[in-house]
Amino acid sequence: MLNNDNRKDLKDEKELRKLWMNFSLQGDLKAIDKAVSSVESIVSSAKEGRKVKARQFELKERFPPYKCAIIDLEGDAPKLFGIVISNRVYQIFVTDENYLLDLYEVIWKILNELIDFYLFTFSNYEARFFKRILPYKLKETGDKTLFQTLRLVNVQKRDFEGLVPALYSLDESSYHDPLLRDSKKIELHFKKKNYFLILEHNKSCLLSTLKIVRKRYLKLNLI
Amino acid sequence: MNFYDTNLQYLMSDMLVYSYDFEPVKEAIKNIFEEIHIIPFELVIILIAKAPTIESSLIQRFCDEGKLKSFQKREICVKIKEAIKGALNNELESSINRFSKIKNCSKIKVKSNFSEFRIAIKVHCLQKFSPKMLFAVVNHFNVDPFGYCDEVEVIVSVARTEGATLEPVFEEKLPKLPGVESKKFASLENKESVLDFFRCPETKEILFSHFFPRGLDNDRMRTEITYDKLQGDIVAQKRRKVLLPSGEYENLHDAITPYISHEKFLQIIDINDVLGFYPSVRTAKTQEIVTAIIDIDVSGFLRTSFSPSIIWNLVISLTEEIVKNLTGFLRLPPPLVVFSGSRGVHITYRLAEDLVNSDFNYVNYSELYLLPSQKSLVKNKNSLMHNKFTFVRNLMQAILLYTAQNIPRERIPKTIRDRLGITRIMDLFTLSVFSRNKIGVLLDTSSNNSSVFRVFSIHPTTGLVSIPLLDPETKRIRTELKTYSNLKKASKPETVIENLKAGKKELYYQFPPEINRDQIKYLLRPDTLLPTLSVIVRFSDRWATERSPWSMKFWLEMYRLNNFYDYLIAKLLSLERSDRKIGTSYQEIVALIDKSKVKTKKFVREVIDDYFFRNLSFRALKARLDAFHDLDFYASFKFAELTVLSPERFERLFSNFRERNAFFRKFRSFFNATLVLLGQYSREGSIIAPKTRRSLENLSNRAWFLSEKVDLLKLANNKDIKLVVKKNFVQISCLFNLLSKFLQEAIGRAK
Repeated sequence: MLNNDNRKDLKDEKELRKLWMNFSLQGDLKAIDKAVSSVESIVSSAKEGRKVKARQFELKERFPPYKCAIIDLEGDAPKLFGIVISNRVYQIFVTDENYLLDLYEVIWKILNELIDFYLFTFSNYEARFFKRILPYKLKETGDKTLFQTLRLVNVQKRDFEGLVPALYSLDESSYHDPLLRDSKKIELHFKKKNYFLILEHNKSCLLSTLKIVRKRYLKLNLI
Repeated sequence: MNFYDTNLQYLMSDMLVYSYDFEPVKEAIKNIFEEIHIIPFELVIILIAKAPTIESSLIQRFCDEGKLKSFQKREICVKIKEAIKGALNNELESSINRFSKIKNCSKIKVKSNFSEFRIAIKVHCLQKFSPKMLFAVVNHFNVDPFGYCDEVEVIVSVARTEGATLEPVFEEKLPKLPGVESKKFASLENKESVLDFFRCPETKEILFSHFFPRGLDNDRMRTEITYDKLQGDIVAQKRRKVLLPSGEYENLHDAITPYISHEKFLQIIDINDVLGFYPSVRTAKTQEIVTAIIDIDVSGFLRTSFSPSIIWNLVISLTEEIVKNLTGFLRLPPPLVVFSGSRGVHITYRLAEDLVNSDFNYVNYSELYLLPSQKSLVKNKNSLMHNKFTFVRNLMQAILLYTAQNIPRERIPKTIRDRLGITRIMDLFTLSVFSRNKIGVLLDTSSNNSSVFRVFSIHPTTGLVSIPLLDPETKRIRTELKTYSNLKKASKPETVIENLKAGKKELYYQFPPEINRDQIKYLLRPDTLLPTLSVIVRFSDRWATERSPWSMKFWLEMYRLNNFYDYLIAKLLSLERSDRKIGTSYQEIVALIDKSKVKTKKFVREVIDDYFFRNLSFRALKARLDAFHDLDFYASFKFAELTVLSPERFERLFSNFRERNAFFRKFRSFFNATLVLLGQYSREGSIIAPKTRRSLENLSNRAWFLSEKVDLLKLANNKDIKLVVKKNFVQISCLFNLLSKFLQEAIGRAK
């Protein structure tokens, strides 16, 4: 059981992790480009199988050369995985629930390439899914210790902080979202086959998180 | 709450059809003051109200009609009794005692005995009361639930000299009135004169400028409209749907199109017996907020206690103070000031398009996230963080609270001050209709919650037109309208029609000026309204005016300090150093710091310069600003805490682990503040003498060394302290004493 002393130690550990992040975030452009190209190849090969679908596009602005990516999952059992690396956005999803395991295999492959990267999220859901659920779903994949070594960072200021208030508190405008920031409707739209709405919702989540990471998290934590 | 409960509530509202006429009491009091030449020593007024029992005619009637079931009889009697008791006890007694004169010169008791309520008003020092004011005190107990009572009796007794027995002078059962009856009101008989008023084409133009606030071409932005419908024998009733010439019913805002002809407009008025128009603050189709409004309402108590001219003087001086603050301190354009029609005033602004946006259920102003009680604000979906209407209302409340707090004593008419014995001006004002203070001036902002306000129409009870009060050129209140008799003449419909026909259009063609986002942003700064808004959020509009002067001062200063640092950090966080306009932002921040009253102003300025010109990281900047905030907090509010540990306290720290925890928290903040301060002092190489500099460096080294000991102490929850730890603890305490002395001097130096 945790007493106050242990909590204090944990707090110190947290500070140490942040300090370590300051060193390890710095990366050369080559390493980042390599990661981008490998993710791209994984996505394109996955598309060929026709079980998993993907959408990708480029952002106008390039993220500062840090070894980090923004990720976001959509759906109760995730049906869509969005990731932003450098100036590329990849959205991988399935249209049939029978192919969920195929989607998770692709996610596993992508994460395998990003072991050195910091993965920023805007909820605890991603960490919970990758560390506690996904290892038990993937039966055939060999190395499951990968999930425990992932550098997942939740950039929320407090539990259940919303994306819109986070943006507004930074004096930033919010992105257009067809689901009006109601992620509970994703399952419904999946059943109705409104995949475009889910993709657009995911896009707005990714871009909002990107803004928050740039304008708040990194400013508050980089020495 | 079950079906029968709701049913009973409806029944109770149906039962309330009578009220009691207190005019005989007024006459009696007047007679006493006139007949007895020497002022009597004591006067006792007893009101006896008998609540209905199960055998009462009222209950029986409802039973016979089949509305009330027999098993509900007893329950409804209890509920009625509770309603009467609640109205008498909770609201009236507490608010009457607010003013020292009434409190000191009178004793008011409310007693209940089974179904009988007895209100005894005992007044001595009668020379301090006028008959009007005495009646106002009595009339204050004329509560709505008296309408349930079978009878209300009044006994007035007088003791002529000291020690004399009380002689009853007046004893009477009060007459019943139908609850809706009112002496002065516009009825269907006045329809022709109302139509005359609307026949002026200018009236239509003025009204339409309010119905279509973004211009006639922008039809989508029309406001919701309510109207007063003239009735035969009761006061005009508010309606929203109108009967069209075609025989269909439609919403008034749909029936009135931008380019409707004057004849058709008059036809609608004629068919529906319209008396006046009330546009809403929100648009009908797009649900946007277009108007911000402040309404000054004088309570019934003040109206019965003082003559209309005195009340109007109070309203005018209050309005002038509000306008002075708006145009001066808050840098807003002069608002539109309109006479409400009876004795109040409306102050209005037009809000620019997309001024407040709450698309995702959050209002898009970053400053709202600096307010206190964030948890409750986020949870409550009607709070100013989620709802744009509540946001505007709260902002208007902040303006009013600021004015009420800073209004000079002389601005309140002397008669009101003397007769009420006001010790604190704030007691005269309330911001909420739910406030316990029922006898002051209600600074009402509830209309901003998507409600309505009257424009250029006839008031249903006074028959006066709500005309603009400002001079069209100077934008100040016209001097002739500061007198109530002149105002009454000027706002008569006939006078208005004459003026319009004579071509004096500019007197009435006045519209609310528009305010934009930058102006609202300026209101939300820590040096303007943010601290006042924080007080409203913290204590709610109901209790914000109820604070004692010391409490109010403390909370305002505290929020001024907290908001200043929070605002500074948030502002710097949203800035990009690579931005081209960074120079302007820097100047704004420097101006804010110079204007502030924080004690560590000098150091804050240095740190900000480091951030902008010496590439200091944001993380380091925030750590320093946090330290300065702690320092300022202790310097401003807890200077006594910056004292050396006394031996008694030192012993207590060993035994009490709670106190020990508090001590360590304080120590850490002291320590951080000291380190930051030492860093700042060491920059002033040329100013500090070499010896002092060396001793500061020594202190810094010692502090670093001893700080390691803090981590060795694992005292958090352990009640017993080990011997080794005790040794460190002593060292820490010594360091604490050293730090507190240093900080004391540093704060003195910063001043």
